[in-house]
Amino acid sequence: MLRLASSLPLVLLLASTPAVGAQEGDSRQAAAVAVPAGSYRPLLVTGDGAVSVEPFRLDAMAVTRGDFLAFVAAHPEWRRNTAPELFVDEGYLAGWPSDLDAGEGLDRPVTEVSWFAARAFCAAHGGRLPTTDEWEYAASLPEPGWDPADRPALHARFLALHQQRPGPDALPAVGRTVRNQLGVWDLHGVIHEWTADFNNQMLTGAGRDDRGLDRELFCAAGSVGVPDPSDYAGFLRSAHRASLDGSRGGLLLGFRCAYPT
Amino acid sequence: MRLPPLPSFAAVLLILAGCAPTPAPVADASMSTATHDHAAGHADHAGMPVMAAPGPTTTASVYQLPGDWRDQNDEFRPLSSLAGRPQVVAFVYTHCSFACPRIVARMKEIEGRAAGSDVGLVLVSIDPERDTPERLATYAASTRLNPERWTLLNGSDDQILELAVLLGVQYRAAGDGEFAHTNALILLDENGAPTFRLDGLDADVGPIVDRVALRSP
Repeated sequence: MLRLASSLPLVLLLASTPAVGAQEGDSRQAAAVAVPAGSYRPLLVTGDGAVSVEPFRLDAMAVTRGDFLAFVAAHPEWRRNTAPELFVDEGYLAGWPSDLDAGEGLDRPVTEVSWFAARAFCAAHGGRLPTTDEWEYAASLPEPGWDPADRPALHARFLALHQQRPGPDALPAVGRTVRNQLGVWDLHGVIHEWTADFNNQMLTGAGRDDRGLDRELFCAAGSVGVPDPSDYAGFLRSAHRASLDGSRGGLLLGFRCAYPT
Repeated sequence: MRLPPLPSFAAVLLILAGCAPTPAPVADASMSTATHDHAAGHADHAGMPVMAAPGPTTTASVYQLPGDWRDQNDEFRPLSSLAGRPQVVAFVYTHCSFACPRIVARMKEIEGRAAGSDVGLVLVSIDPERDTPERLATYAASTRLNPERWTLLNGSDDQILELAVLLGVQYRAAGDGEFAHTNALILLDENGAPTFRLDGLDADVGPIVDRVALRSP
């Protein structure tokens, strides 16, 4: 993964030039981290608790302002002034000086982007948003030197990182905080990140009762997910996802892309 | 003009046991970290319910969504082809034996009570692999769905996901061929903008009937 550090300037250079689709896709995808198949224990645990994840590739770092600027330069339909009302809201890139000026800190994670805009970016780069399982699995992996089996210690570590996170005006450049054992950066304590199925992640059972799912689901015996109370940071992430609206971004909400292996 | 998010749509709590949800608002996604410090005083969270609330929806026309949907006649139906009349939309799957028949029954009730209107009824399948156009046709016939009113749609996973996000509907494969999904009826106006929503299988369909009954066919 030392290779990633030296290729980052090249990735940024390519990302900052107006690029044709193939070139955009090749450079980001090539720099992505290979995440091998594995399993993790999600917040809401059913059965034996393990959820398996197939191999995929994941951006080592969140998409930056510079990355997104190059994207809207090449895709006018996603600029702040022209993006459809259906897919973005008034807060879309609101912090940018203009629709083609991302201001200072081009290497900071881009925020104030909707789920639709994030999806479009990833699609333009040959990828997609990671699923919630994929993202959470990557986030469950510790930094080098930490015992992956010591979940209580890791939960405490992840919560501490979350509690130390900076405000939206002080977001660090990507690749500056914590890097996990796979070489994926900044999954804890910086921004929340969009996932492909953020909207579907709260359902845990079959919901077959003849009453509204939102009232009856968690009374259905055998289908209730039991949350792991020691994973408080996981609960906060889950709660945050449940509050999201796909057309609205947030000051502390960004994303990274996943790619096929 | 975008509607402000309603606090009840962002309610999530943590459950270990019990079935009496007491929703509490979750901080808005765009709030600063200064108001996000949840660490203090949360030792008493055990025993509180987790609840998936319906999400906020757009107020623009969802017919702007691209995609080659196919209907029960195996014809390509861009969503814009639904324009021109109000549509009542539900997300179902034909192999569903519990909630979906109730949903369709309520939609038939709307159809009956608003028979003097031009309302259309749309079933979006969340199980496109099994609910092929042919399967949708069989289902429509056996369920006796009037083809003048009813559109059953088959789309790609991405298309379904996008439409569900826009309309605030959740769904997830539960593993044994069953799906968990929001039981909601969403009323779209003639331009495809969502204007009303009924949640839960027992909610009275009167409010939807009232909104469409004034229109003549």
